[in-house]
Amino acid sequence: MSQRAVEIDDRETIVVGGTIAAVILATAYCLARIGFESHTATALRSLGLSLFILAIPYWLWRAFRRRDFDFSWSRSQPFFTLVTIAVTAIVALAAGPFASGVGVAGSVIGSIAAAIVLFSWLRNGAFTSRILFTLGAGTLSLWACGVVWTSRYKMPLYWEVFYTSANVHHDPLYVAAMGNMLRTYGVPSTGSDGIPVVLYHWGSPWLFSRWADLVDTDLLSFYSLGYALLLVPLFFASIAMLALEARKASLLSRPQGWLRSNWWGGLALAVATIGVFPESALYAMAVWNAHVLISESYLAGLGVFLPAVATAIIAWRAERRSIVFLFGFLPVILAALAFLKVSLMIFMLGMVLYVLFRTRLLFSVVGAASAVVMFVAGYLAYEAVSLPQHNGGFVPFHFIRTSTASGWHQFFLLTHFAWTWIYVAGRIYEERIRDFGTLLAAIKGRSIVDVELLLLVTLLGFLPGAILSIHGGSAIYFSDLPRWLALALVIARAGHWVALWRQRRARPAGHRESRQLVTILAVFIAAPFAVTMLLNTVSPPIRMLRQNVAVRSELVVQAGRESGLAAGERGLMFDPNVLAAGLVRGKYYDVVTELRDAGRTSANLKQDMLLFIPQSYGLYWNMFDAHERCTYVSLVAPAISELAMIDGMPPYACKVTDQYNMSAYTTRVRDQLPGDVTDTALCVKAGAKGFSRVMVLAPDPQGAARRRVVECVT
Amino acid sequence: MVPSSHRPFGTVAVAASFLSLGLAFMYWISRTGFVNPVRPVLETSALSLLLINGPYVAGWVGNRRGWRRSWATSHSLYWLLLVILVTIAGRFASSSALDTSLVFAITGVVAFLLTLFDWLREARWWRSVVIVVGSLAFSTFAGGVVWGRIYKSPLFIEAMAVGRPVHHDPITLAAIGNMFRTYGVPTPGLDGIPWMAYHWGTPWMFAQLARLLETDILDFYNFGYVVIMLPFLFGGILCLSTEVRAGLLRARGESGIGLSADLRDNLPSLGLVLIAIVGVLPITGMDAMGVWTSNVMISESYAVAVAFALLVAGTAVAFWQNGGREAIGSRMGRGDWLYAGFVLPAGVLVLGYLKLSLMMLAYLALMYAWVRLRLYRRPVFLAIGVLLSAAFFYVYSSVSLPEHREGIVPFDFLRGFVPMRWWPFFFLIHLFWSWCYVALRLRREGVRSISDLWQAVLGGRILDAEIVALIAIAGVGPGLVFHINGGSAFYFSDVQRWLSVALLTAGAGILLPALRPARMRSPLAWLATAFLVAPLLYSMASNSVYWTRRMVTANGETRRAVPFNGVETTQRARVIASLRSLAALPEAEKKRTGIFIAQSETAYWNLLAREGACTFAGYVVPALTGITMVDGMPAHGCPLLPYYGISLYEPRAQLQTPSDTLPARLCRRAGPYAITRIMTLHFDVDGRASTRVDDCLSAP
Repeated sequence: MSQRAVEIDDRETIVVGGTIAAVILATAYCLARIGFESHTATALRSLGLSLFILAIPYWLWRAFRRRDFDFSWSRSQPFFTLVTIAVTAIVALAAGPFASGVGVAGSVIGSIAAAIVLFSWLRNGAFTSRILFTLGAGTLSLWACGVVWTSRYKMPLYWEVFYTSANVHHDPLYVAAMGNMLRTYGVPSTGSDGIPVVLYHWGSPWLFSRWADLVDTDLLSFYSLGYALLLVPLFFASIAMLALEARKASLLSRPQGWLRSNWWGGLALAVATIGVFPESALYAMAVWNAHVLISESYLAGLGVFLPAVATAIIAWRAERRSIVFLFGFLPVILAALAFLKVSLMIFMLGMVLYVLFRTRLLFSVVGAASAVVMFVAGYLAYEAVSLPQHNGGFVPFHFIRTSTASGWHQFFLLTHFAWTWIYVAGRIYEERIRDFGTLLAAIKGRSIVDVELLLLVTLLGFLPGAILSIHGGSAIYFSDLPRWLALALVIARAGHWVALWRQRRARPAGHRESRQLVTILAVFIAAPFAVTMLLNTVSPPIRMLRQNVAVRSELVVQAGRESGLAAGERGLMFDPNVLAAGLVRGKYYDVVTELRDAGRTSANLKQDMLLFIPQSYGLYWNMFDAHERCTYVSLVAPAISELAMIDGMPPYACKVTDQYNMSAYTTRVRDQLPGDVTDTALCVKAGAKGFSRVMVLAPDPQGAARRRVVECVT
Repeated sequence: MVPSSHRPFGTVAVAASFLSLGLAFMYWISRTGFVNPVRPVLETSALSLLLINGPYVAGWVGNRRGWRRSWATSHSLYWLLLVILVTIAGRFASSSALDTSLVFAITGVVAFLLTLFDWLREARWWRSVVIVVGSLAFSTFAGGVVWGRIYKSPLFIEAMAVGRPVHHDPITLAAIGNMFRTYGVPTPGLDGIPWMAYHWGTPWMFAQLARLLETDILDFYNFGYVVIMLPFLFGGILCLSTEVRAGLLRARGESGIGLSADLRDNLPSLGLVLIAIVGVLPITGMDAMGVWTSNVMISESYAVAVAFALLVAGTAVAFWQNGGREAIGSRMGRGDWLYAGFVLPAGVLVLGYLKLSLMMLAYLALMYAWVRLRLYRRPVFLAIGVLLSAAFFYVYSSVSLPEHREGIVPFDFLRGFVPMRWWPFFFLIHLFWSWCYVALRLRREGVRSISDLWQAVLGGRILDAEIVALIAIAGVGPGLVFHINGGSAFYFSDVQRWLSVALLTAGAGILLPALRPARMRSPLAWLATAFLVAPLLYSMASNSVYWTRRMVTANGETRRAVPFNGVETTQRARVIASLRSLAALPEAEKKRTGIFIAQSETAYWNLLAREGACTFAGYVVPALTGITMVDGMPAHGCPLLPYYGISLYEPRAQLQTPSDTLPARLCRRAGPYAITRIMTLHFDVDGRASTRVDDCLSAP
């Protein structure tokens, strides 16, 4: 089998894995919405866009590839992945009102490209490994469905939940508000009272607003659907891509179908994502498996970071240093990462500088100059996105103390960074490093630079949470990153280590020793972990199903068909008429529908318009009536209507948080008075902020929400 | 004949002695500021020293006289016999003209000093220092565990007096012990003295020891039990370990195997015992797996039974390794018959009175060995087996409370005490020590395949591992099949831990080195090991102070609850003092007396402050006075449990009426129990008691 075929098979496997994930996510989403307003068209467009991002880089790689084993970063699949992501966003921006049509075209192209890859991958024999790979990818995708859609962050029935109870998390509202402000006004702001520029890594809201244009949907809908369909498959594909490039760079042999039949690597992926300990135990060690799939900025950042690292590995392996790579690719990626997730930019900068140092390139003029350029790019981007309120000051071991279960802190280093230790141990075993002498020799010989880098990343991941108080447990976005990097590296070598171990433990010829009992013991020890992994795998989808049924039941009750449900008429939960009747009677149906309708106002009109909701509209302002959540109601209208508010800060009695850029606005010093809500007063305020229209959303005498637009013409 | 070697047991005796002294000192310090006479503390400690060091002195005498080594001269048997003899001595203590507690105290101190000096001569000084200091340090942990919860406390009575929650277990058990002492019947004494099927071994035993020490039983539960029985428990583990090591040493020719019978010479092996007791995972983690740190110490019946069982196992090891193995297969001597036909079966049956679970598992293990050694082929052994089985069922029926048999409830223990997501790990972790021992033994025997295993089983090479596995599997069975109230299935499934740990400690010298690969010589391997082990050691350190801190906190909270003018001024304290004063009545008088306290006496019936404690208020009189109550069932409306012997009595069907309190009515209730005097107590608002005595014989 030629190296070309090996290379193609592995890269096709990446695309196929991502395709399986995207298809399963889309199917699950559509199934979860049976009986409700159909999102099938949006789901198909999102699926097509996802397949575009997964498959097009592969075809570009095939088109531009020179040799079987080229280490040309600019012709690599990871680099093309980054390019594709960028192109989709830029095209959407450039297409303006035609973005929807461009999106359809992209979706069709992506679907065809992925289908061809799938066909090619399937026709190449090796039936068993392909079936097992497909089953594994499918299972992992089902697990991911459950994880991403059982939070209050994202749900297939997001709007339905909003209509009935508004029991949704405020984080998506915050980022959707910011994305909408970028989309409507071109300004990064949360739009609670005008559109002051706020500091935040607003890269993902911007990117999502562009992708939402391509799939022709609103941003909050995109967060629940498009985000999952695009980024979850991309995340898994990125890990596989990094693993493949790491394996390639290691110069270890790679048999045909290495990736799809890399069982030890697959096991590592499953263990790292799903976990072999009960979820409660993982959570107790701050190993938050759900987090990576829920945090949109983190997952979007990883979708760029991991391919970027893979690209860097290729560049590092190349015989010739590329000026474009040093002065072009790296500074741009650093800046992009800063806007996506600051922590990832810091990691990338640290890694690049360390490699420059270890390869002595830092001591050359080119290397030093590129380091300066990267540092400046990183610094400027950091200044543009870093929110001072996120830094709670010096608090030793803050993250460990607040995010690890009491009594278990001492295990944090061991468990939280377990994948780092696994990789380090594996590499030390591989290199036969047994004492400090051989360790020093390996370091001097640069044979374990990968280990050094990973340890550096782990240190960088550990330090922020160990010395600073970072709001909302966000130190996890530093400490969690080493896991994915280490995992990709472990996938790259796991099979090799097992083979090496077998080889080194091989008995002399003729020596036969039964290992039956050892096997039984191993199975006995492994069984609880396997069972736990199985339970961890199925419990998120089951949770998702239960939540879905709970929402449906609630709507049936709201529709006045409780008796039917009690009589066992399960079909009511899927009856569109019943569900629609229930929705209409939802407590927030009226106000949320009005806000969504407001969002459909033409973009030109919106650019010059602000939204006002008087404090007297209790249904809106008391929407988040749970303890200390009143502060987030200000984000609801901008997140749904795509309009910034005027005088939209929370009520005077509400304790306003200093997070979520709330400090960009002036908090109320008194209750809103009748004089504050007159058209004249509103126009004066809007004029002062450079706007000439105010849309007022207020209840009519019957209590129903009504919109009217005030033209502030002098 | 090989002469007896007693010295290795010096480590057992010295460690247990310093544990006992450390606990006594903790108790005494904890009571600073309250009534705190030093003499009872010293007498109890000295009695503990006698029980601990007596066997060593006996071994020393036997050694000097050249007694042959056998089960009859084993340290385990000496210890068991001494405990039994001293307990029996307590039965007759009050009728003796001698101050028996003083005699025992002086003897105990002399025995301890003799042991200490003899022991110190044997090894390097620093090893001895480690044992002594380690034992004292361990006493702070053990004291913390046993006194850090509400079951037992140096300030138990004071806590009751100031209205702080105390657990009902010591009160109910003290009541049973007192009833034994006064009426010779195991009963809770809530409304007369009907006989109760219960493992009343420890209440009876503690009643005798309390009499010997001239203290009341509730005090003995809070202090005497801790100072005497906890060293007995931990000493029992070390004793079995030392018996096995001594046997291994002899079997391997005394030298060249890196094994010394003295645990002092292999300190890391003692680390295993500490790991099993203290734990290397945080307490929440161990609790989640049903590996409960504190239960072995707070459950007096379990602690005593485990110690007793391990010492019986120690005699079995001594028997097996000193000719018993050969004798069973050929010709048995008189001593062998005495052991196999009486001592060992009796030991198993006695366990039934201490803790039913231990008897059942011991019986199972014994019968397994009986089958595996094919003893049923010999008529005498067949008869022994049959008789033992018959006796087993008799003891079972006489100690098992029917209310405790609550039917089949699959996975009851898991459902009640193990979070469902942790169920898959239960068997692995709960039985960890057993798996560990079995795996290492198989490895040691070179068993690698099913065929090897079968050969080893057929050859009888791994009978010890088979028995450990049997006890482990049989131990978890009850909790998985039946509903056993209050997590008591733990007392089945936990037994394997102590047996395995004792055996692992014994075999540490030969079982563990096989685990250490050559690459462990690498400094990087050491570094990696240290990195992995450091959190475990930290957890162990954290666990070791956790309970002590809890104890100090509880002590402080009780002190803070004491009113400024003294604990004795509270209403509860006066009620308690009044009741305790009745304990001084002559035994003969108490025997024909029953106490009645009307339900309207809220000062008494609300004495226990813990939520839901109304069920147990009736036990306070028997526990403090040694006199049964008449019509002492909890108030109508108070939720009743079927346990603690409550089911022996009729629950109240209605509120107590004035006619229920008439002497004639009360006399009729007490009549079937030969109680001819009714003492009616009334408490004023300050808690001071006034009594009225009605003689049933002179009543109309």
